[in-house]
Amino acid sequence: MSSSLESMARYISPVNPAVYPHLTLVLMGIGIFFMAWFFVYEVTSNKYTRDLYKELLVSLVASLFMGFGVLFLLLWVGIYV
Amino acid sequence: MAGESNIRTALSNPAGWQSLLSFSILALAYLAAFSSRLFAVIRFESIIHEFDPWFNYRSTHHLVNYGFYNFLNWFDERAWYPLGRIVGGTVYPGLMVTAGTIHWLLNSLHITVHIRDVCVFLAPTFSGLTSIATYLLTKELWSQGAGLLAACFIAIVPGYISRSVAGSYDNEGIAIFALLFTYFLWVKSVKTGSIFWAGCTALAYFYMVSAWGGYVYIINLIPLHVFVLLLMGRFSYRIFVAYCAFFILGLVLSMQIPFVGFQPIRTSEHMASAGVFALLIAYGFLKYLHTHLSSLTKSEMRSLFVFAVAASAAAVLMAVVYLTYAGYVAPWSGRFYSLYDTGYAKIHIPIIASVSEHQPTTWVSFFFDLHVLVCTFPAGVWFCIKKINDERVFIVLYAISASYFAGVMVRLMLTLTPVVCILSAIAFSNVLERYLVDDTPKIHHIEDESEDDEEGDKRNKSKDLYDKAGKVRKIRHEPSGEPESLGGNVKTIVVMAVMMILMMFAVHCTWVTSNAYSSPSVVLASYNHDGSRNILDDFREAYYWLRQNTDDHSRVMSWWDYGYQIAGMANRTTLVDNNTWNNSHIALVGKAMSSNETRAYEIMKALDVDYVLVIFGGVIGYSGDDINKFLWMVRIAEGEHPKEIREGDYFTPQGEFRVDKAGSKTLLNCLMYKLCYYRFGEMQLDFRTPPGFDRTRNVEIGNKDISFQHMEEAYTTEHWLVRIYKVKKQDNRVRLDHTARKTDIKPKTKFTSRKSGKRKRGFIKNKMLIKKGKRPSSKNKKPSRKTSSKK
Repeated sequence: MSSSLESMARYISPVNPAVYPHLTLVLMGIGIFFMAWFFVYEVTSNKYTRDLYKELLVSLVASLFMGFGVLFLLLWVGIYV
Repeated sequence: MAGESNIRTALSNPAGWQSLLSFSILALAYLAAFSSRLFAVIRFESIIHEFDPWFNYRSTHHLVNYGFYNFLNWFDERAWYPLGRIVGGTVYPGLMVTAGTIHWLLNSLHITVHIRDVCVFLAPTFSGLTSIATYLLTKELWSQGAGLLAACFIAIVPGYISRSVAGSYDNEGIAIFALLFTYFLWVKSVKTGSIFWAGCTALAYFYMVSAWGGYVYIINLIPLHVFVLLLMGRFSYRIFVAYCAFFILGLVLSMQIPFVGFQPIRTSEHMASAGVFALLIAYGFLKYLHTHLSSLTKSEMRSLFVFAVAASAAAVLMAVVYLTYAGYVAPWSGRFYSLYDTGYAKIHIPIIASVSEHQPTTWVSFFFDLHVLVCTFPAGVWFCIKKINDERVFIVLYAISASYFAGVMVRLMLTLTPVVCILSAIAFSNVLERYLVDDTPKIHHIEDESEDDEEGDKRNKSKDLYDKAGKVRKIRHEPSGEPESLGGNVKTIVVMAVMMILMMFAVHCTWVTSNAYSSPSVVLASYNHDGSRNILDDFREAYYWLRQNTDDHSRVMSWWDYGYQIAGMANRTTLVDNNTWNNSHIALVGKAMSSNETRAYEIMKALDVDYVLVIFGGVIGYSGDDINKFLWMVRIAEGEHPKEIREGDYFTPQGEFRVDKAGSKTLLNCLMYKLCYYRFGEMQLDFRTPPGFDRTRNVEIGNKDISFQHMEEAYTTEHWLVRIYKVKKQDNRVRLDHTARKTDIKPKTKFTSRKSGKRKRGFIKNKMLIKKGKRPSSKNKKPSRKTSSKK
C-alpha cells in the first residue's frame, strides 16, 4: 500500500491555484451581472413584452458564469470539491 | 417585436431597479444575519452549546438513525432513571423534524453533511429567513422601505442573536421565524379576507405549534386582535372569514402534535380563542339580522344590537368560567400563571424561580439587547396609532403585550425583539422619508404628501444608501398652503445624524454578539495578560472519561442542569435532567446532596446510583458551580421534605451562607460540601493564600479533613472543575459507629453454694413420689429423703 502510494504522482491542478481568487471574482462578477439583468427583465416585463429566447439566453449565460464562479469560490476558500 | 423594448426601458424603469435593489438588500441582510452568528464557530469549533440543545441534538440523532415513527414513539429509559421519559409525547418535534429533513435532503443530493453540522448551522439559516419574514410583514403594515429597514434590524439585533447563534440548537431559532411568518400571513388574510390566506395562516400556525411552546402567544394575540377590532367597531366580513377559517383549521392542526394533544379544548390558555370565535359568530349573526330587519328605528336598533352583543359576550364568559369551575377546563398552568402573578413561582414552584432566565428584566438588558431601537419603538407605535387601520391595531396590540411580558421575564425579551424592530423601522422610515425628500421649491399640501408617502410610488431606503432618486409625486400649487419644505441644511444634518445613529447601532450589535452571546458554555476560555487564550475544556474531558471508562448501564447522579449534557456527550443514564418534569425526583436528588453521607447513601442505594458528578469552581474561580447553586437544591428539597431539610440549618446564626470555619455544621458535613472539597484542603493554589482557599467564594474552607465511607473519588479534571465519584457497594459487615451496649451494669455478686461439706448431695424440690401400679396421690407429699422408685 505504501509503495503504491509513493509511486503515485502528486495531483497538479490544471488551473494555477494562485489564480483562484482572480478567477472567482471575475467569473462571479459577470455571473451576478447577468443574474441581475435577468431579474430586472423578469420584474419589468409583462406577458406581452416577454421574449423566451432572450430569457433563455440570459439565464444560460448567467448560470454558466455563476456555476464556474461558485466552483472557483469553493476552491479558493479551501473546500476542494 | 417585443424584444426591442428591452435594455432602454429596463434600465430606465424604476420598478425594475427598485426590485433589484430590494432583492440584493434582502440577500445582504440574510448574509449579515448568517455571518454575524458565526463567532463561536470561528473561535472554538462547530459544537452544540449550552444544555438544552444537547437534548435536541440527541433526539435529532435518534430521529436520523431510527426513522420518524421510532422517534415519535420513543420511550427514553436512559433519562430520569428509574422513571424514564416519554420523549415522543413531551417534546415539540418541529425542530428535530426540520433538521432531519434538511439532513435527508442534502444527503439524498449526495452532499454528505453530518447531522451535527446541520444542527449547529440551522439557527443562522433560519435567522436569515426571519429577516425575510420581517420584511414581508412590515411591507404589509407600512411600506417597502420600512420593510427593508426592519429586515436589516432584525438581522443583527442582539435580542434575537442571543438565542440563535450557530450552535444554539434550540426551539427559538426556528420559532421566531414561524411566529413572524404566521403574523405576516394573518395580516395578509385580514387585509384580503380570503380563505386561501387564512388557510396558509393555519398551516404556518401548525408549524409554529410543532416548534415551540410559545405558540400560546399567537393563539391569544390573534383573538385579542379580533376582539379589539370588534370593540372599535371595525367589524367586517373579511375579519369574519379570516378568523373563522384560521381558528377551525388551526385548532384541528394544532391537536395533531402529540405533546399538545387535547390541550386546545381543555386548558384555560386556549379558551380565549374559542370564546372570541363564539362571540364573532354571534356578532356576525346579529349584524346579519340588523341588515335584514328594519322594522325598528335606527337608534332603537342600535341599542338593541349593542345589548345583544354584550349579552352574548357575557354568556360566553360565563360558559368559560363555569367550565373552569366544573373542572372540564384546566386552570392556567404554572408557567403561564407566573407571568401574571410574578410572586407565585418563588413560593410554589421553586424550580421555575431558580432559572436565571426567568428573573425580571433590568433596564440595562433592554438597552443592551436593543440599543437605540428601544428608544424609537414608542415613536413607531405612535405613528401606527395615528394612521390606524385594521392591521396596525394588530401590531400595536403585539407591541403592548410583548412589552409587558418582556418586563416580567428576561427570557421573553425574545418575543419583544421582532416588534421593536418593526416599529422602529417604521419610525426611521418616516423620518427618512420626510428628510430625504428632494423638495423643489413648490408648495405642497400636507395631506397630499402624507397620502403619497403611503400609496404613491415607494422608494427604497437602506441605511447604507443616501438615495435621492426621483419620486413621482403630485405637486399642487396651493396659494394658501404653509411652506412645508425644509431648508437643505436641516435635512442634511438630520439625515447625517440618523445615519450615525444607525452605524453606532450596527457597531454595538456586533460588539455585543462577539463578547456576550458567543460563548459555547461547554468550553470556557480565559485570556491572559498578553492576550493569549487559555482554553478550559474540563466539561468535555469529564464527559469523555465517563463515556470511555464506565459501564454502559451505569447511572450518573448530578444536579439537573447537567443532565442533558451527560446524556448527550457521555451517553450514560441520568437521574434528573433539564426537562424538570418531575419535581419530587429532583427533590430527592437535592435531598441526597444536602444530607450527610449516610443518609445520602441510603437514597443513592435506593436509586441505584453508580457515579456522582459535581461541578466545583473553586480552583479557577468559576462562579456557576454547584456550591453556588446549593441553596436552590436545599429549597427544592425542602419543598418536598420539609421535616428533614430546613434551609435555615445551612446558614450561620447570623443568617449568612459561609463555607469557612464559621459556616454551619450541617453545611460543612453535607454530601455536596464533601464532594466538592475532598482533598482541596491540601491544595495550595499560590503562596499568598493558605491551602484550601476557595477562589470563587474567596474564603478558606472550614472543613478540610474530609473522608468518605461509602464513596471514592473516580476522576477529577485538570482544573478541578468536574469531579466524579464512584458509589461503593455496601460493606459485608456494617461497622457500628456507636458504642457497644454495656452489659453487667449491676455488680456481680459472687455465688456461694448452699451445699456445705457434708450435705453435698443435691435434691430436687417438690419431686413427686411415684410407685408403679399405684395411682399417684393427689395430696402433696412432703419430699422424702428416701430414694424414689424408678419409673
